[in-house]
Amino acid sequence: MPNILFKLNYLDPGSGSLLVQLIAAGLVGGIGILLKVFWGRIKAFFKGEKYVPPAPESDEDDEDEA
Amino acid sequence: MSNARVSSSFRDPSGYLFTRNDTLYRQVNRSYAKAYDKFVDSGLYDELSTKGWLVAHQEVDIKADNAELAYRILQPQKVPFISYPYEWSFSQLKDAALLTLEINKLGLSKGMILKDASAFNIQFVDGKPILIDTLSFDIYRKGSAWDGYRQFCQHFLAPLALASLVDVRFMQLSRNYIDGIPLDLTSSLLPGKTRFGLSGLNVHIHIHAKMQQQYADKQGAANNAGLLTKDALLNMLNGLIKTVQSLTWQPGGTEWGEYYSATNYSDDSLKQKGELVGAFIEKGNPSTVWDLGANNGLFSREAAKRGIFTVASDIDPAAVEKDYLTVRGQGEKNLLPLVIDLTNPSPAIGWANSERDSFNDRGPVDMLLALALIHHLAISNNLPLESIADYFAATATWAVVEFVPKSDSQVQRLLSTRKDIFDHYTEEGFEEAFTRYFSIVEKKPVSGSERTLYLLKKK
Repeated sequence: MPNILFKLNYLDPGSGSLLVQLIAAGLVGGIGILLKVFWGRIKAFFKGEKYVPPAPESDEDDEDEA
Repeated sequence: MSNARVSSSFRDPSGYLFTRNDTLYRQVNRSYAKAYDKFVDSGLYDELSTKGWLVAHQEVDIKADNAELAYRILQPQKVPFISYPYEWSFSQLKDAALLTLEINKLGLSKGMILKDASAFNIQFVDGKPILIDTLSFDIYRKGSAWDGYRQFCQHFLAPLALASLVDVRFMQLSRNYIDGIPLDLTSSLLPGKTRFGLSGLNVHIHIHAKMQQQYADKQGAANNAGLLTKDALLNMLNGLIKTVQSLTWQPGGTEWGEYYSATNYSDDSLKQKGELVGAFIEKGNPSTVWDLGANNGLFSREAAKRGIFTVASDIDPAAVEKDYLTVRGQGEKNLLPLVIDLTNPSPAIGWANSERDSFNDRGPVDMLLALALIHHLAISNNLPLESIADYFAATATWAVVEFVPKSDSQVQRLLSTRKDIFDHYTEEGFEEAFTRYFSIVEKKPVSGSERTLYLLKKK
């Protein structure tokens, strides 16, 4: 799996600028993602079923070329 | 056959722009072939160009200068006038920012991502922002962050935040910093309240600036592999959109924003002046017009509505903002409002002073409009009438110029606080200065005033 800092591009994205995106994505999207995960659990609880986490997203866009 | 590489086109090795026999082409290099194919095959190009978000192009079959490098040659649709972010009004920059983010989201849905976020890649055509760099897309790799994020924050978010929360004149700072306003500078200028709360500025500007400092010259930690999922990246982009949308600026309170309502023009004499300007434009029959000191573009529209491409420039960001909002709201064509201080127009900037052209270098133009302008140049700015005539003659073949005599109330207002050193500022003096280069084709009084409108043609 590629590192977010893995690829070299013509534009220097800046290490700090890459890392701050983790914070930005987490802050903005964090609540939404948490809700999504827990909604599944809550639904499963009330239906009396065992919670099965959704399968991870497929790696459709992964084009590894060194 | 004359080939010239466009001087601003050197950063990205994916390709470059060149002109041959006055036609603009874009070479796509072999190194970019895979990304280019995906860009086309995924339908991204079609969708972007159909939406009017990206300049359309045709693949052409002409011989490349360096065939071993070339993969494709494209002929992009020509943009009528190249303008720069430091010439845009607040909403122009904001719309350009939002377009960049929306394009990136659409790209992600097709497995691609913007590899940069330069405001110079956006231009305005018929009142709408459009991306002009066809090679801005890279193949998205799972887990990767957005390489253009830093540039987006510097080129768009920083000037918008400063203009919105501190002073609109900070828009001009982009002229000093060709790669966008440094985030540490932005962070120190923004009000303290932006460090808290959910505006997004805390992360995108303040923490971002800190992180840049902390990680300068350092390799990033190696344990972030795959942490940024596509959903997380989309969340971040949506967050950025909200942050940009929350930044606003109300025009008003500046010098000229209320000009027409504050002056003694009646609606009737404005209408008659418009008809006179329109008649002069038709006599000159230009295909391009620059309206200098256009205010909110009232008279620029006399040209634009006749299908003539018109740049409406003014020093006042409020007037230009109003002009742009009208163009956008009415879907008007052929009109480009820009913030230009004619006494200090945009210089050529960047490497070797040749990356971004000066305002003058983007001329000459067929016709200039200079309405209610001469007295500001001659009296407020002490410019000799000869210098004004020199500049007009170097810039255009035709000029529609309004001479505002000293007896006019607006000139009296300018003179009320200073010594009248302008003995030469008379109708005779004006004609003497301008007829060195121009012949007077027509001369008509502006009704309801002591002003005179001239139609001048270069000798």
